Amino acid sequence: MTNPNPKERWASRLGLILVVASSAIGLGNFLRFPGQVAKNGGGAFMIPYLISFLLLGIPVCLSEWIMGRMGGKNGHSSVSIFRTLLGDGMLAKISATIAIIIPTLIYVYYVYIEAWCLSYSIDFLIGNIDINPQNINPDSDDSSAIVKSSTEYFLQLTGAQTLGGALQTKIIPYTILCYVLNFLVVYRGLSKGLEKLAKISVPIMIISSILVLSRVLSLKGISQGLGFMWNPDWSSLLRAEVWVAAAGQIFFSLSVGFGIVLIFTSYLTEKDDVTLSGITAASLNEMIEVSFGGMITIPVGFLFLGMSVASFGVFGMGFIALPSVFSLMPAGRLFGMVWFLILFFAALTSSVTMLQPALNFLEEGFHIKRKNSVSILATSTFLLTMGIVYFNLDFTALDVTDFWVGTISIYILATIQVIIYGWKIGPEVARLESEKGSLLRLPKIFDFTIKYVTPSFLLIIFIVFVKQSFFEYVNKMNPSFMAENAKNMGLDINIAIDKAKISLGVFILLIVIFIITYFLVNLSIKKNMGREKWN
Amino acid sequence: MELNFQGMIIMIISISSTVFLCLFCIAKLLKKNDK
Repeated sequence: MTNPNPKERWASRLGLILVVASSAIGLGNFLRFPGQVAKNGGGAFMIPYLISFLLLGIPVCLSEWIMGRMGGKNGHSSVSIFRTLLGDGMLAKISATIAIIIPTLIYVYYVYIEAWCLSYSIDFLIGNIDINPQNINPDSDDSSAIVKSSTEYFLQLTGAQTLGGALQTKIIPYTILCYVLNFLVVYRGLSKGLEKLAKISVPIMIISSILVLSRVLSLKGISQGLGFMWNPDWSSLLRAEVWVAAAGQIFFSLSVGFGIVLIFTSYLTEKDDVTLSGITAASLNEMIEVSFGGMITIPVGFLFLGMSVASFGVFGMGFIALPSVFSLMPAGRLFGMVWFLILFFAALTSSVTMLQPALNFLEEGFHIKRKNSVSILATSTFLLTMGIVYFNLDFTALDVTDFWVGTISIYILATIQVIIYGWKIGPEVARLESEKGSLLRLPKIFDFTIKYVTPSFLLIIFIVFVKQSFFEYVNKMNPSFMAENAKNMGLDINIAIDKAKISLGVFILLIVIFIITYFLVNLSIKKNMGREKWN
Repeated sequence: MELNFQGMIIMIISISSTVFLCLFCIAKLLKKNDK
């Protein structure tokens, strides 16, 4: 296939590693991981976490790096990669469609969350956030008033209390600003855009995290917060859900199954290493997650808010609990600003990478120039983001999209990738491929692991996850079920019906987007017919 | 809930092992780059 940007390539190996690592380093490292540890046995959680890293995280990561380079021989879009790996059948087209849709649709709602982080950081900087006007002292007063005030601030900012409420808040200009930043970076290309951003952002995140961590560790009584986070409850290891939670955390943290790493590694040649580079990117993500995520959020939250801190979800932890903490701690304004800047950079470095699969598809499949592909993608994703913003009543549109795209679809794509690696290509052939340019030889046990252990692990997590959440989300689309449920719980029936309609609408829209993308994938293949021979 | 001995050991091992793995990989990459 003809690449309209034939000069696109990575400037350095370290640059690619930083881009892949910073793509994986996101809000989950700082907000989701500590909550999972505290809820699932404290320090004891690290045992299933480490095992999941070895049996699930590393194999899936390496398979993506190895297959990306293999698939990149004929082009750098998901379509070329999957056609090279799977031939010209329907499975290749479906896999390519999913691999284009997942990162693009995750971007659609992720950029909105990114705007929250930017807004909080600037509000802390200019003193525009005052959720402790009565100067409540955590040692002597009840901090629940602060948490209530922080909740109101968050709901007001995100417009989650009413349908279309967010359109009237200041979050819209912040969202537009994030859009401009994201598309400026991708417009500049791989080495001048993404690589440069990662080389600036990763050191900023690490230095800022060290600054915040130093402040947290110097707080009086922090040992109690650390105890709440790290003291092990060994009996938790007997609970199946703890193991599933650990595997799920590894899976989401490393951002495997997004279809992004395949694209980035497709630019590598047989002279380039994939094994050591893949493990380095994964270990950088782990270092930030355990060292900073594990030491900051929950310990400081526990110190100021007590046991209740573990009950906050990811959003609650990030945008309600921590702002409350910063309003209570000395020099909290400064540390609040720095903390949300870290989250903003973590989100930005992830969101920019999510645009690349769709851009490559447009440019390679339809021979569209960068300027036009960026315009098309910016317009279409912005319209969808505005849909998420408008239907943000109780975060419904965001939550439903995250479930069907950000959870179910990535499980499916990760499973497809592992099966291609272990059963279609075969671990022996893939091993020979991985050894080209390799700086690290994979142990023989890796072949057995990726063929049998990793798919079984993925299947178990998927079954347990479906059992836990699938029917809940199916029921969320049923207005009469939701109305009945709201009635029983004494909640507003009309809001429940609105939420069910939004959930159903989002689900239908996702199916329509899948069909349109599948059609475009077919069209791009026809357009390029005869230009390339596929395996 | 003070940090107890077991918690402290797990915390130190977890952090130091991830830091070590990351630095080891980066050092190995840089070393190979030099060659």
